Amino acid sequence: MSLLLDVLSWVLLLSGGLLSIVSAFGVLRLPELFQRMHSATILDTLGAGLVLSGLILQAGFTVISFKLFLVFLLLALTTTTAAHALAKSALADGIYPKGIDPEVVRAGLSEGLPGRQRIATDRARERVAPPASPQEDPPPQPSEEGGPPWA
Amino acid sequence: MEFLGYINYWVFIVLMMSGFYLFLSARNLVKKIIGLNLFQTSVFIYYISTGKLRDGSVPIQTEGIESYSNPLPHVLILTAIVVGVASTALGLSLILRIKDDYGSIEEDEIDAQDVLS
Amino acid sequence: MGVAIDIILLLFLLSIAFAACVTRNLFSAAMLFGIFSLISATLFVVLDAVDVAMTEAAVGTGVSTILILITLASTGYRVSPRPAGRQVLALAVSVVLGATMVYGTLDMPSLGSPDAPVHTHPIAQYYTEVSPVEMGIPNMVTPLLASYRGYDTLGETAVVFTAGIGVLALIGRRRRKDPLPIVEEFREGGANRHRVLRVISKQLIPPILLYACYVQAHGDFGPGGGFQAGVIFASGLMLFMLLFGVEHARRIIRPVVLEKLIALGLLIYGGVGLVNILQGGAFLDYRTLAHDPQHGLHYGILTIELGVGITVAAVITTIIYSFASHLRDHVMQRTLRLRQGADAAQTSPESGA
Repeated sequence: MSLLLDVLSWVLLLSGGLLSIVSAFGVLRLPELFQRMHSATILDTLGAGLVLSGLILQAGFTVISFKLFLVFLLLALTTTTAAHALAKSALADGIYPKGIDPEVVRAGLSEGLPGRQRIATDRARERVAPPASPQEDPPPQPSEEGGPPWA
Repeated sequence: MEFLGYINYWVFIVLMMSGFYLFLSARNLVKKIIGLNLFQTSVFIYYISTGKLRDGSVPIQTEGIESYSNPLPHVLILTAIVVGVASTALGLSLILRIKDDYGSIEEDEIDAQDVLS
Repeated sequence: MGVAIDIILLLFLLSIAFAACVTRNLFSAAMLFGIFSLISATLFVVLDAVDVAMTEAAVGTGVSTILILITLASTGYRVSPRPAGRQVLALAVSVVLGATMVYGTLDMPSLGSPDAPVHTHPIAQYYTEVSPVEMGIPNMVTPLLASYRGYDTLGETAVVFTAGIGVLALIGRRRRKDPLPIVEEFREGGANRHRVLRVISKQLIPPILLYACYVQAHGDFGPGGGFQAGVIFASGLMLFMLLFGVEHARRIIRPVVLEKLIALGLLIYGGVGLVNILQGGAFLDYRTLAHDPQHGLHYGILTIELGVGITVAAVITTIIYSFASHLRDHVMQRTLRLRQGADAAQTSPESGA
């Protein structure tokens, strides 16, 4: 029984460690904000979750494993919320995921949102397509990948 | 193992000096404060490391543990950290007032205005 | 294993310090400083200083970084290019100073060596062996802070008090005769665009405040005490302020109350000393407080830790309030100026530009 628990906890610990390395690599190598965030969030939730559950199996049914569970709960709450806030701020600032039509994102963003949010999305829209004026140059064409050049 | 102890000291000194370099080279006042804070934190690390005893334990009396690290540096640095944040806040509020009065936090621009007036 | 952790943490610290030196962006420099503090807090745990780690995690990562970011929000992130000559000079001075210090370390005992003067001096043995018996308190840091070095801690608390007064004098509330008109958009303040962030983070505030009280009361047995509890409590309040805006926070804990609390904590500390004198002992000699000297020590330590906690929490909360209110005024003034400029341009387009 204890051997089984040991093996199981080591499998969890090692897979958690491996996942952390992979996602750290992803944060460094992925080209775009949202993809990097995806990678970092995997590290925060699944990587840390696996390592913590491995440690809980090692600690057994004690106060320590309860504390580890609390740590897991805290991580699960805070990192996902932080990721949500980060993505939302990025969208409000006019940074959109590559390969997705900005209009779709904007339609989703401005639907049913109260005042301040609509202001933010309006601001973002202005950054994507500045109000056309006849004297100025035409707005910059999207690059070949389909996203705006600064994304 | 002996050698590694010295490596630790040298790394702490490099950290201190990077904060000091930032403090000296920056012309932006906030950046100077960040440099000072880096310097300060590195000094804390160095100070705490002197209290460490090899194979020693956290200085909280526990059954079955004989040797403890020296708690004296911990006490000194504990108070120093809180005093440090309070004095950082004082420095930053001075910067805010400078910004209000001069409209800039770059050393050169403040100097230029002082010469003019 | 410990060596591996040590080396990895040191590498982290080195690369963060290097990045902070070369970055041109003040925002990233501030964030790098926050990460630096967090990693050094981890290093403090490796070096057996758990009390210090707790304080550094709350102060360096929370309060200091937020203060720097608030300052940057009103001063701007722009850094003018630096002349190369000055950088070379600064580098030369740092390298020479660093080399001198490295030369100095050659005469020092290696890290953690048991025959270092820090560990062989009789006072070190006194603190680690006699103090738990004499005081009856397992955590050696707490009686050292509150009793053996009680005068020193009184002085440090007074320094924190003075810094708080200084910040209030510089950017504290000014009672204006004509208060600034409120810009509707910024009335609510805080993270009001992020509903998810608000709802989830709100749940974290009560546990943080409760944990601060636990740290305050449990300092005799585990890591904790007045300084740690004060900064943790203040960072809980800071989280509330960040989520709901400084105006809301000021309605819940009023600045007037905080100003009284700043003084109250220091008064409690000094008052214990005065009571000791009245009872015929020396200043801050807690043994006179009860019939059993050890009980007297416990009462004295608990009371002055409470005083320290109140002062630290109130000072840091006051500092954060002052910074946030200053930023709020700044943003409103700028918005008003911009709007007035726009209105003027609309009403008289011929005289505009």
